[in-house]
Amino acid sequence: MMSNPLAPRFTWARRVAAACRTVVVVLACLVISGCLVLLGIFVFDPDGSEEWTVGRRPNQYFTDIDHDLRTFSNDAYGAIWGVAHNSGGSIEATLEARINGADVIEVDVVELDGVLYSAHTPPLPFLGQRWFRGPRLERVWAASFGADAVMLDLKETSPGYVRLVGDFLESRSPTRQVIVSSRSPWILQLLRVRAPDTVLLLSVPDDTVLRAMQNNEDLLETIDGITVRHTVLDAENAVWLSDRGLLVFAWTVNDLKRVNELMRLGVDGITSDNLAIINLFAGDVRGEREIRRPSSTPPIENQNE
Amino acid sequence: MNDDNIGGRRLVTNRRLVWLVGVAILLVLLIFFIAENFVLVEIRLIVTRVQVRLVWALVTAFLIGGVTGVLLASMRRGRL
Repeated sequence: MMSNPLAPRFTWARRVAAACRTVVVVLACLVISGCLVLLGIFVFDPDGSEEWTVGRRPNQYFTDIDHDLRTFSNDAYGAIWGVAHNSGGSIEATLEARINGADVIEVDVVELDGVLYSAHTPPLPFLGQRWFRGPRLERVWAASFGADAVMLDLKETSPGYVRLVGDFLESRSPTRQVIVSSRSPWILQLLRVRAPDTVLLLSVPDDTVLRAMQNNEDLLETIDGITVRHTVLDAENAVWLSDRGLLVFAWTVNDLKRVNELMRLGVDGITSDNLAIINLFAGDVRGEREIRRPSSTPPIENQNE
Repeated sequence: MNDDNIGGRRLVTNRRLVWLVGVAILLVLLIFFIAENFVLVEIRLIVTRVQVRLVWALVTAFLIGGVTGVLLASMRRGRL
C-alpha cells in the first residue's frame, strides 16, 4: 500500500497539540458567543441587567396627588401605615422617604458573603461582591432612624441567611420596631422564637398562598398579619382577616383611588412608590406609633358617605 | 483526522488562533467592565442633563476620543 507523502505524519505529541488546539478554539468560540449574548442583554434589558450587577435602584418618585380624590379625613389617612417601597435600596432613598414622612422604611434583605445587604435580588455568587453596589443593612438601619418602623422583606431562605437575620434582630435595640415579612412560614416560626418582639407578616403574592395560610392554624398562631399584593385583597378576604385579628399591609399601590378602596376594606398599611401618597399617610402627628395586632377593628368610615 | 485540517490545510492558523483567544479575553474584560460600571449617573452637558449608564458614557467618550485622534492624525499627515 502506497503512503501519501503529503499526509501529515502525526506523532502522539502532534495529536495532543492538535486536540488542545481544538479545545482552545471551541472554548474561545463559546466564550465569544456568551459574551455577545450578555452584551445584547446589557443593551436591550438595562433594568434587568442592573438588578443582577450593581443592584436595582428604588423606584421611588414624587407625583402630587389629586386632592379631589381624597375621600377620608386627614386623621383616617394618618392612621394608615405608609410603607415607602424598597426605600432601603439606597441611603439617599431612605433619607428621602424619611423627609416625606414615611412611617415604615422597607428594606429587601439579601446575603452576600456572610453580610446582610439591601437588594431586591440576591447578587450573583463570586462576582456579586465585585459588581454589587447596594448598601449594607446596618447602614440602612442607621439611616432609617426616626421612622416608626423598619420592614425587612426577606428575599432568601437558606439556613445561613436566616441565622444572620436572627443575629441582626437580636443585636439591635429593642426600642425600635421591626416588621419582618417572608413567604416562608418556617422562617417566621423560627424568628418568632429568636425575636419575639418583632412583628411578623406572611408575604402573600397570590390567592394560593392566601388559601394555604387560611388552612394553616400553626402559622396563624405565629404571625401578626400579612403583607399582600393589593389585587389579591377583596371584601371577603378582608373580612376574614379582620375577624382573625390580623394586620393587613397591601403592596404596591400608587393610585389614590385604589388607596381609598383598600382603606374601605380596612387595611392597616399601604406600600407605595409615590412619596406624595406616603406623605398623605404621615398625618399631622409625627413620631413613634406602636404597631399592634388589631382586635377585630371595623373598617374606617368614609367621611363623605 | 483533526477537524482543524481540511484537505491537508490548517483551517485555524496560529495567527487566527491568537486572534480568536485575544478577542475572547477582550470580550470577557469588556463584560466585567460593563457589569462593574452599570450604575445610572446624571451627566451635565452644559445646557442639558441626561441620565445614562456610567459604562456607556465611558465607552462613548473612549470612542469619541479614538475617532478624534485618528482624524487629527490623518489631517496632520495630509498637511505634512
